[in-house]
Amino acid sequence: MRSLFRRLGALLARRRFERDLDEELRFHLEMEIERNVERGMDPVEARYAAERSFGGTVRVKEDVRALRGLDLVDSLTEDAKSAIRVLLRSPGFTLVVVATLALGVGVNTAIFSVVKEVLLHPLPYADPSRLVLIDRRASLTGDDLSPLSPLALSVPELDAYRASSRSLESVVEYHSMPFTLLGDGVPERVDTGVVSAGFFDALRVRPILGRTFLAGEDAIGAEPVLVLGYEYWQRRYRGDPAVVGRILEMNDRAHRVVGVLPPLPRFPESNDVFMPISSCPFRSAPGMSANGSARMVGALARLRPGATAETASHELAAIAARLRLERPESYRDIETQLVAAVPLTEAINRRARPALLLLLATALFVLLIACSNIANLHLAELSGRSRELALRAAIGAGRLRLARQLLTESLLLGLGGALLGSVLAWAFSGVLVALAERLTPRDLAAGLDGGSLAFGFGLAIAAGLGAGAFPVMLTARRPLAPTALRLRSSLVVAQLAVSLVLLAGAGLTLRSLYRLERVETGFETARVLTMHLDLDWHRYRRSDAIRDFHAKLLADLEAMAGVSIAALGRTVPLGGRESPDPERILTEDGQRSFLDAHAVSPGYFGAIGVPLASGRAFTDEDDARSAPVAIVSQSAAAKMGAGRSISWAGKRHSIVGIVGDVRQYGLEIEAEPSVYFPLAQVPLRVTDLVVRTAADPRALTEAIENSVHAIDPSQAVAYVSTLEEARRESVAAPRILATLLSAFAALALAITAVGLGGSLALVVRRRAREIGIRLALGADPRDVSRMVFRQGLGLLLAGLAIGLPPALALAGLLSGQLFGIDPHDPPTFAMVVLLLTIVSGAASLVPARQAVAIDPVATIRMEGDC
Amino acid sequence: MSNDAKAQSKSDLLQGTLDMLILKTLSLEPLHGWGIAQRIQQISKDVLQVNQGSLYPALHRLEIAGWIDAEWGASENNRRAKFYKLTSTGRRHLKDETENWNRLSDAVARILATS
Repeated sequence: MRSLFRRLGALLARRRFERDLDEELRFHLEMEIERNVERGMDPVEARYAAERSFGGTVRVKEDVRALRGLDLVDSLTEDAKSAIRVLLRSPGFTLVVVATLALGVGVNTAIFSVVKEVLLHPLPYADPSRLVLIDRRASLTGDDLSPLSPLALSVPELDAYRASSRSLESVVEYHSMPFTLLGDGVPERVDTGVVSAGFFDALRVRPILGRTFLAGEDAIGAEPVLVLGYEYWQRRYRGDPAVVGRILEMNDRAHRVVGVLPPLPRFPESNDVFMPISSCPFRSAPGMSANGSARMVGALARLRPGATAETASHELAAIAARLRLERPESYRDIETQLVAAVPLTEAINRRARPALLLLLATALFVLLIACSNIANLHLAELSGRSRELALRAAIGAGRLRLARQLLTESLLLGLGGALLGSVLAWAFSGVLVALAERLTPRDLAAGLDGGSLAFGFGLAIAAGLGAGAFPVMLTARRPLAPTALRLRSSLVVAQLAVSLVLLAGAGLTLRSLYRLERVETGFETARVLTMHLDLDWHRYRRSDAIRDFHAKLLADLEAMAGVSIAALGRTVPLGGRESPDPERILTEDGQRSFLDAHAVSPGYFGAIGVPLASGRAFTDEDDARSAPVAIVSQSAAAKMGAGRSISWAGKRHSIVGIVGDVRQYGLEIEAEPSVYFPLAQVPLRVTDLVVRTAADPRALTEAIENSVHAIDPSQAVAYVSTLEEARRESVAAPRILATLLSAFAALALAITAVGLGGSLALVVRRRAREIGIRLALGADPRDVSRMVFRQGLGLLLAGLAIGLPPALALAGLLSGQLFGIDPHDPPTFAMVVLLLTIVSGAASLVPARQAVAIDPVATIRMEGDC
Repeated sequence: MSNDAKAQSKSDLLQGTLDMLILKTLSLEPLHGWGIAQRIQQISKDVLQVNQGSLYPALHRLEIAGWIDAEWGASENNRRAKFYKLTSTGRRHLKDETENWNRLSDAVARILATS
């Protein structure tokens, strides 16, 4: 280490060192001359004698420099200089290598920068690895729809886990609800996290302003307080610190803002503000704390020292089983349940992890192909330079020295690749952030930080050196000729094989996307505007008030110019906020069944274009005073068998119609068997407004919002969107993923084509004289080009044979990302093989032409091979 | 390799001796390179001629080892010259080396005396 510093120091003080050494030696020489003169020599003779006795200053200087460790620096600079000379002599080679490397490194750097932020950065909670989520999955009795789906906890359950668990501490409660907040008079719908007072202490999150909740602030009767989320504070109050202490009205109560949170992952949900459980009118309703069937809360906890998620899960499962025995009445509707402690990190990364790792793996494959191409180019370059290298070896350059020279070239190429690659990565990171932010609740900063750039540089230099070292090792042993050719061929075969793997992945995701985008959704997206309408629970407590508001709003909108149909329903497809809401109903013969329940106004099916299969749609006559009716979806009708009525919530509803199935919760999710009730008979506070318009639906946004405010000035609307946008957004993540994978595969294919073409071109050059003689003897040019194609075909077949098994095996890993397509889908694989064959054929075309164009006379005169 | 090794050990021996002579010379007073060469030649009555090609690398080596320090000063004829002086570690080293040398030369002398 010390010698390293000394060398560095010497390097810095280099100029001074050289001057001093010069002066010291000159002084010596002059003293020697002086002495010689004193001894009676004439001055010229004295100088000669002195210089003779000195024995050459150059040698002395070199020895001293070597002592000071400057010799290595010298020869490295020399290496670099000569490497730059060599690289500039063949700009085409340099450019192709740097560009290839930059592409490979660029995609990896960009992906790494996102992976780092999403998967590697610790969560912004203290000691996040100890945080767990109490997760329950359950299947409901008689519900054969979805085997095990998430089910919230009841308050008594949460209390039991908190009291009995010995592996968990700081068990805190959480749920999220939308409320209307009146700040500056403009009503606003805010997503509110409703939490235990100790919630932020359990996460060990410190507020950036004010404080979080104090112990006791979640007790019934405590003063209502609010903590603002960072984003909401920035968006709504422009980061004004004076907001702390302000009084905001919510649920007809005055809430005091006590603090502002730092940026946090939008997990478990995205929340604008937080309140203690005592402030939530639903959570603090009398009886809620004792109601074992009201499942509305989630729970976070910390593992006690020594406990693991696994031991905690065992314990929770045991407590859950005990609760079920003790209070069977609360579990009658649950068939099976699974309670576990899931590490928070795992829960947060559930969606992002597989997609990002897939991309990273793909990008590494691209880099691998790029590297083998670079190794190939080096080989070609080296065989072109074999004479130069032989000459250098002959005049005494050591083998090591030569290898170092070649590695220096690789290093420079690696640096060039890193620089250009960083630019590419920067340009490319936007797309990745767009993908990642749809998959992770964490905040992402676009762009690259130092760590990612360091990763990119390290990768580029490793790749550059790796690709360069390969041919160097080869040249170190023996002259290049025949082995190099064989080696180049195997590199090309490897490229073809890896390309096949990447093309298969891209092909599968593209076909899957194609299926997804063309899936029969059961509704029409064109020209439909939707917005979320959450009537204030306090002012619209009575059903009449809700009904009046709905009727007035729909009447006003129907009268508006440009509106074709206005309707209300809960919930609009692809709204993104809801999950299936299975209601227990009884069929005519008394069978229990679970159907996804909706309440809709008469125009709903027309507005979103759901076809009526039989019977009739709801009309204005289906109101609170008329007989209860219902409409079921085709799959629900099939599930229940023929029947004319169903019982729900103690009332018999006659089935008046059957409508088409609707993919309600995502294009990739099968339509749930559903039942629709008239909104007038089941007045819901929370609905979606759907408006089919004659022209651009977005143009009416303001007019529609104004109509809402005209009826009730303090009523907020939220999530304004068109169905078309919702549909596009619902496939945005798979579309970006498929696009990226296709881009990578195309990149790999292009690099491989260049590699194959180059390799064949080399074969043609090697055999130029033979081909020339053949042509001179009257061989058919077609035979000559056929020979080149045959060679290419051989490489392709070898590549396919090697690539197909891993491609099939790796496709299996993709199955989680695929929709409606088998990972071993034969048409996809056939198409991929076909594509690879066509591209290989095209890549063989250029060398084949070169072969045919060989001038026999020129080649016969040519001496040796090139 | 074997040639290299031989050359290496030979020069080690020579280096060690030259080093000792330089240190001894500097133990009397700080001197510049030329002065050191002259002094060694004088004291050894022209038996030992110090080659510049060995002297300067040796001086830099000793400086790196920390046994001597260098500093620019004015020579006896008022020219800028680089003066070397013994450091305290150099003095200790010289003492050790001198003892070693004495032991060795005694031993050699005894062996030679017996024949």
